[in-house]
Amino acid sequence: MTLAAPSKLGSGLVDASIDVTGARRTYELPDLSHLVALHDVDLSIESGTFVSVIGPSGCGKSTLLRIIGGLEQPDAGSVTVCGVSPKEAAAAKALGFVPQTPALLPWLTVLKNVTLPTKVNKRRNRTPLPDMEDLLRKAGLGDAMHKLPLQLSGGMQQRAAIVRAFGLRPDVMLMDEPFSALDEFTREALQEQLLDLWEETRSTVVFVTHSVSEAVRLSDRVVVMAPRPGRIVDVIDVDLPRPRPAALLESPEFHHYEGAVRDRLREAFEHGSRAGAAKGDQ
Amino acid sequence: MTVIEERAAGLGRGVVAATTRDVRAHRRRRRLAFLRPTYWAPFAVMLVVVAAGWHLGAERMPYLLPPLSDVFGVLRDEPGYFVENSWVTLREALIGLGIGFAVAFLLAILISEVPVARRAIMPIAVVLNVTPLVAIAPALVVAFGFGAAPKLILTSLICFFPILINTAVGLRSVPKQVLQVFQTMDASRWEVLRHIRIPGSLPYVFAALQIVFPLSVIGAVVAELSAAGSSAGLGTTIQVATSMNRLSMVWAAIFVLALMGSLLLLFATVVERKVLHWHESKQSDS
Ligand SMILES: Nc1ncnc2c1ncn2[C@@H]1O[C@H](COP(=O)(O)OP(=O)(O)OP(=O)(O)O)[C@@H](O)[C@H]1O
Ligand SMILES: [Mg+2]
Repeated sequence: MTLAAPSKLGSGLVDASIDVTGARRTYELPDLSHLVALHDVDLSIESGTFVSVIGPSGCGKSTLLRIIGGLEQPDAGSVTVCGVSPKEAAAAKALGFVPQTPALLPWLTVLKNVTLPTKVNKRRNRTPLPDMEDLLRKAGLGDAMHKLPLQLSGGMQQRAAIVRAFGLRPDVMLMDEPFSALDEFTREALQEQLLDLWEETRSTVVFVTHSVSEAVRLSDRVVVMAPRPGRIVDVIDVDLPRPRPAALLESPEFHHYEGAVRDRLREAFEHGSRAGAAKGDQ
Repeated sequence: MTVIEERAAGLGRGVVAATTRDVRAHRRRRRLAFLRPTYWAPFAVMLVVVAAGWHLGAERMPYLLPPLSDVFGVLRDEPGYFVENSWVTLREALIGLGIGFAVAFLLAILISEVPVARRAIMPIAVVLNVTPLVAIAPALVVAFGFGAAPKLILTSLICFFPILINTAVGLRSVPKQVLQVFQTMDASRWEVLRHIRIPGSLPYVFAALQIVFPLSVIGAVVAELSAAGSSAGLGTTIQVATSMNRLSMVWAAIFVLALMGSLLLLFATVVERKVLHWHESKQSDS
């Protein structure tokens, strides 16, 4: 019997950390000018942490997420996910992605939608396959399992999209404003469910959001970004005990963190508009 | 070139939107109101009006229109003859449609997967589309003779473009975020095609079929009309009857063709309703 290296991850990769070093991404616009969406971004995320990314619109949050997910290449700098390139991590099915819209297939039932990932890139499926019906029931979709996505509310669709991503048992979850289209109550209920799912899997999560309270409630760390050029201005550690029930949102500690994030965000925003104004003066 | 192409694609999309909307509105009404007189009475009245108008016209201008009773008399006297010739035309139409569909569908996949192929194929397809294809029929007959070949070629050519353009648009209609989700799982091109792009294109494909089923009959008949020596088919019937001045025979054949086209359209609609139930549910919900 040979001794294999200890691989604690389902994907066979060793460590679900994310390292972004000096990442730069520039878009060429139709008028041939350049837009720096990410300017020398450094970010390292330890395995198993829940990290939120917050910042004004257009500061490059989605771009950062796409680069980590291997959907886009940085023009300079390097990205490693689970110790390998994003493409290799995707090939190992180490990534789960939840976009801003549920992005379900309208012709498949909810159950078939969430099991479709096991039918692509089959060789890298987890064994045994997770019980998707059970996951759906836990997410409150037990009755909706055999319905089509268009027969569900927006919140239920987004839950199905999250179950689809978690069903892969990914080591790294990438979520781009998954709750932004939902009302406040639905949003808080889904935050709770997301935390429950996460407690089970303890995957590394990068969660893009516009909501300060959402970022503080969910995260171990909050990354604050600023625009023009897109960059990280601060990383705030959130030392609040878990689990974090809805009651926590009322506590002074919670407000303290909210205030801190909001201050940094305001600075980023003012700085961003000043930079924009200066650019306009030239 | 890209402008032409986009315009062609836009045209295709417009057609898609229009036909699917019409069909759906039609369907919703039909599901409940099938048996009510308000549903069928207008049509029945219209039928009577048209028949009466026909009757008056036929009485005054016998060289323009034969009496309806003569037309149905011909159909009653020789049902076997019409069944036989309908079958010939229908077979030409369906085989031609099948060939056109297969080629167009495969090319649409090629176009959507390989940009170079797209740049090579689209201009030719667009030129083919703006050419009045019925004008090619005589040339095809000269080249391929009086057999089935020119009829199948013409029919498949006529059916080709609507299927190509609609399928190509349909294959590209998948939302970017869906593709991104499956890209982060490293789904292969084939897997994306099979699980996402092809099923997602079906509404567009069926919209094309609604257009193309009736077109296929036109293709077959035009080719028969152009081939003076053809031995069978309703187009041939029309041609022979015309040369012998048998107006009621001509109209009997036209009636049968109209019936055939309607039945094909009905068939396409019924299959579409079965396959695209998920698509329809979207409509009734919103
Ligand atoms: N494909 C693209 N082509 C050109 N510019 C782009 C492209 N994608 C993003 N950008 C630009 O890059 C900048 C960053 O975009 P990004 O989508 O990452 O912002 P964001 O922080 O996610 O914003 P939001 O909060 O509004 O989603 C924006 O100014 C955007 O206009
Ligand atoms: Mg974004």
